[in-house]
Amino acid sequence: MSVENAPVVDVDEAAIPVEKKMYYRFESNDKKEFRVSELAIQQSETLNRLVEAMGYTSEDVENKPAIAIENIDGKTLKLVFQWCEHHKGEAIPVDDGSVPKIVEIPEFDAKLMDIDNGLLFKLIWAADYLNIVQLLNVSCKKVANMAQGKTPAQLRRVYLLPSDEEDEAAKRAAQEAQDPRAREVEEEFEERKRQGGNSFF
Amino acid sequence: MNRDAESFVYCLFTLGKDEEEAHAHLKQNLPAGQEVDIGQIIDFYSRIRIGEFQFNAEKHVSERIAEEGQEQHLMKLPEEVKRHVISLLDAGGRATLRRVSPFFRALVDECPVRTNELIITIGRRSFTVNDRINNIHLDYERINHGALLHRGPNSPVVRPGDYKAIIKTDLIEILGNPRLRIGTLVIKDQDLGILETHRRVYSDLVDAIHQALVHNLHRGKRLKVDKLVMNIAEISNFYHILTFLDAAYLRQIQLGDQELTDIFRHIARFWQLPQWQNTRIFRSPLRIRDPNFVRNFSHFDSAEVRLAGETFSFERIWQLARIYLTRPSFIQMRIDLWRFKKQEFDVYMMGKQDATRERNGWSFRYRGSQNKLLLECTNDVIWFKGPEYREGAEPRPLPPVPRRRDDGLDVRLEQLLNEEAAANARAGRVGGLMEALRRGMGLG
Repeated sequence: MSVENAPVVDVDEAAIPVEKKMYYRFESNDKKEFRVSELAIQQSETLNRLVEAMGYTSEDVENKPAIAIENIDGKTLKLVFQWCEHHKGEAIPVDDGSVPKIVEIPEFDAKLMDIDNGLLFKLIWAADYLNIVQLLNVSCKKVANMAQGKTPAQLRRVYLLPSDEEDEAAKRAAQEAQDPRAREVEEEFEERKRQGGNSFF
Repeated sequence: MNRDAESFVYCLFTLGKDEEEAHAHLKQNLPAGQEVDIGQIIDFYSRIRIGEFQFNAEKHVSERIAEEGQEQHLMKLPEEVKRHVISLLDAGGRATLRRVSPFFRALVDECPVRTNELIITIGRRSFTVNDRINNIHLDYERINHGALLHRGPNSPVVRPGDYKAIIKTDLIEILGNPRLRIGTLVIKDQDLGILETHRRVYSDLVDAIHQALVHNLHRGKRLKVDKLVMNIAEISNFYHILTFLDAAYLRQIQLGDQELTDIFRHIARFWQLPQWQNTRIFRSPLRIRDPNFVRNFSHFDSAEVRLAGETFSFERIWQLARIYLTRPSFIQMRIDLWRFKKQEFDVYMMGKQDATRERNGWSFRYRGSQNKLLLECTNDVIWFKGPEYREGAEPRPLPPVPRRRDDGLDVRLEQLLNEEAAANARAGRVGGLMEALRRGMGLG
């Protein structure tokens, strides 16, 4: 995708200090390109360290290929960068291990996270991967709020969790896939036990 | 290399940096004290090239998920993120998630439960437990042969049985979690004025709290509370509650939020408790009568107290000043007195060599430092302000003072210590001021 056609995240120009006016280009794993302000990138510890290490100039940003983020798709990355742009310049919370502050979900974040559960979990995964502390807090809080007033069965559906039986079946399938001889050996062992022997030896 | 470092190096790999450049960039960004060998980078690069690195595997999984039309879900999130979600669940959510699968039961039980504030209110006909973070809103109304339990907007539920036993059982459920950590535990009376005539009801309910805490203690655990706020008629109950709290966590105590008729009649029992000794901030509007005030209250970094009675000797103020001057970290001690003879005190202080007259009172200079200890005096307040005192700021517990050996103890202070030790020995006591001072100076 060319730079001209790249989906650009809305940026509030007035809020950006003059000396920080540089936009980095990032590319998702499905080849969608995004331009993100330097101030917004600071919300992500991973990306912030990366761009600092690269030491790009404005020309480099335009001339060199966009920075590839291999594990995140365009739909998720768009949400991430929209969040970063909206919260650019805000202090990053530090977890000092003490009792928690109450996590409130601001109106903008609530609207941004008005998405299906699958995408919400992808957003959490991306926030963790890119180390965006406050986005991780609000998205996890949204998931936690989803549990309110639910029964275990409803919670399984909401969180897309397997039941105990499905869990066990998946484990067995994984074991068998890993070692196809295992089942045969187990069956042989059971057969020998039935015949009165205690072991193979 | 940890996962963060691997992610970082992986990004550098995708940008076409070679091993040496990646090593140089990583070295610049590693936290102090951490080192990575160039050999590790070379090894890691070769792993990426042959497709062994985890990111490739994750990418493969995500592609597979996309192919199979499955969605990302809670189970697929990293372990620490699952724990983070659990830490944000309310009490009901945690209870439900525990019942979803053995895996989540184990995970929920492993995760610490933290709350900013748990408020227990004892009333003549009701008992309430509120916790905003964990969404606990329990309101027990006393009825004949049981309790009517109101739970927020839900319809009340009749719980047959003994009122006290019902409350005790539920409190054990709430407070019995060994991983529970409470920011502020508030225990208060709803009807302070009329409780005299309903002492039995009140005592029963305080006893229910005790028993829930004892239950915890039987499992070798004390409740982890950072700040205890108590506003109850019977101060002696404060002692019992205090003994059930974990001394390693308790940092602040607030006793009473209005003037009660009861005073610290049993203060003599408190000072030996580690919970009392470890507390850094104390505040109470109650009138205290304590002949051992210096011994029992001088260890706090910040304290606001009111004293009963008309006598508070000038010598005690002088003792306090000398104790605070031995502690490099100190915020404040504000003492409201019944009646204080400021002019006589000024005359007393004029004879002290280390004291300097100030506009509002006196000041003392810390040894080996430019910092001053201020002592402001009026006719009903004496107020010590240390180097950490900030006007209008809510005091926060100071970090513990690093232990150090004394390098030249002030002669007069040593004399004071010896006098106190001798007095203690005569009275058959051990420790006291001596112990507190030595601990303050890192000698204990």
